[in-house]
Amino acid sequence: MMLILLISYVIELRVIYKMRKKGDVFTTSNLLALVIAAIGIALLVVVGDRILEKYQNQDSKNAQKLLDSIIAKINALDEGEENSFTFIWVKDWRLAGYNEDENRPEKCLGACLCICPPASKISNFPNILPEQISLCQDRGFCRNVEFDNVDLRIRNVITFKGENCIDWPTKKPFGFYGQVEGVIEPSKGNILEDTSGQRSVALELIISKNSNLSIKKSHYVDRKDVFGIGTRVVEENGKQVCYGNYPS
Amino acid sequence: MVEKRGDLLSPAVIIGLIVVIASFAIILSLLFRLDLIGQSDDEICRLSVLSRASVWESTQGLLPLKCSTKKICLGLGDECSQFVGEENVKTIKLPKGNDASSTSKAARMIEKTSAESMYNCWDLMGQGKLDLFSGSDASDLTSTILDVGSGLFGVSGAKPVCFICSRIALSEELEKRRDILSKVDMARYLATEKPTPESKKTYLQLFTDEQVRSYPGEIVELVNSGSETVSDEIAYVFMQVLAKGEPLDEAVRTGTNTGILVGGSLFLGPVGRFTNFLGLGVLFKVGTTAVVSGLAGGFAYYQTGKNQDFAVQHCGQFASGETENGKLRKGCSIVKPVDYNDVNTINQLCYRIEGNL
Repeated sequence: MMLILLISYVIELRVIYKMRKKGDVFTTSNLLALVIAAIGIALLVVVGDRILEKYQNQDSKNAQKLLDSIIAKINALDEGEENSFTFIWVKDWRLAGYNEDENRPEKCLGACLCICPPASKISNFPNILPEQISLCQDRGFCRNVEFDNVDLRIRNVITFKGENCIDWPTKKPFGFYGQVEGVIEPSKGNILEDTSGQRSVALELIISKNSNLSIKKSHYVDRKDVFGIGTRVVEENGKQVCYGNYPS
Repeated sequence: MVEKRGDLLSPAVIIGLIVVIASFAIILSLLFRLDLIGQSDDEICRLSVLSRASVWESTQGLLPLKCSTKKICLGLGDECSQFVGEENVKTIKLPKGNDASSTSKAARMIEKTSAESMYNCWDLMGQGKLDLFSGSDASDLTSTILDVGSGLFGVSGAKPVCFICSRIALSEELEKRRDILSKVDMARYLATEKPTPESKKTYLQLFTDEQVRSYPGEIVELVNSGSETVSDEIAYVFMQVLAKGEPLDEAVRTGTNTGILVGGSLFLGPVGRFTNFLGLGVLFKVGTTAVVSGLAGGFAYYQTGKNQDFAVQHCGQFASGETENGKLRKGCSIVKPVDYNDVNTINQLCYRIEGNL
């Protein structure tokens, strides 16, 4: 970059020097030097722009990588299998799921998953907002998936003193599903309820697949903040353990 | 006469034109090649770190951190499912044998990989002494950090920025080999081993500006009281947080009096304790106490039963990143391992993550 600048500068100096010396502005050589200087400046602008664009596209590239990583993990799962994965999320990008029979970006041939900048409006199903579809079409990345239904929502995991409550029958973390939102994004919890404006940087996604694809974002909620879900704290080996669906 | 005045068709002009165009082509190609092919990821990262550190805070946002998270799979010949679908995964094959020599060798390789990751992260990020995140995302970051109100790590919450330097995953087969994992001893490795044979300093000395050659007795005791918390994947995270001003002077002075916090320092402690001491706005005297008292709840990520949760930190005035007033900012940087599967901890530690995935 510095070399280009230097060359342009030397050429321009040469032009000025000649103009002063000869008092002749429009000789062919001066004109040529001016043209070359102009090309140099234009190249400088182009290169600068390319470099700037490259830097500014970092989020976009990360978003694409994130989507590809999610797709690869879905593909690696066996039919009927469920697993949880940690993803470092890209700030201000959202994962949107589309079924074959609903409005979707044109670049989706059927059911698909897209990662896109979020629409400004808040809605029950933000994925099918025209603004969101348009953002996914124009600035997002989409991958077709072969499932009858794509289900994106929150799974609330109940905690007690920082530890997960355990579902008594299955011995898995106890929780309940939030409503289908059609998107997953780094908001702290449910999109409609979250007014904090805070964003998570890491998300835990529970992915399961059969004929449908289900992606659930884990949202950890303290037991005391949720009413009527029937958890119970019992003493086990001198330690308090929280259970859901505990036998009465 | 026409030739003397530099006619368009004269040989001198044509040669000059060719030289200039060829120069442009070479420079252009170099610009892009140097950036993409000629340098290793670490060199590109280091360059971007130095670029950021050497510009004004207001222009830092234009220079994103061109550092990529390293993905390392420790396995016994098998792959790490944690990295399915991810690029540039480096696989390190450990000896598979069950004999004492093989298991010890495998454990040493785990220690070496972890220590190298930690040191590499610390070194790449300018040993915590460079102000890297003041200007990035100025709309919310700079203002929120600087307007914390109560000064250093105020109650309303400082908002640290992180880069995930590396992720180290254990393969499924390795995860089952308790005979190998139980031999991992990061404390011993850091205190006795050097990054390269030529190096004159151990990792511990490098992390502590040569002040510490061996662990104090109380630390040894606490290292041996690790928790049972285990994970199949850890991440070495670089975190930096800015301070508004004077409270840090007090903090550093107070810390210096303890004999522990001078320049860089190495300590043990779970993230929760660390973020607590950041979040509550306490001074380092209290912070140090919290770190030490929090050791028993540490993070034994290699199932050793020993606390392996070592972190290295630097607090004080940065060596770069002048503000418009010509002053250098102050803040704290830390490199520490976190359980990659524990999203709550990562979200607690980092307000924003920069770099490439």
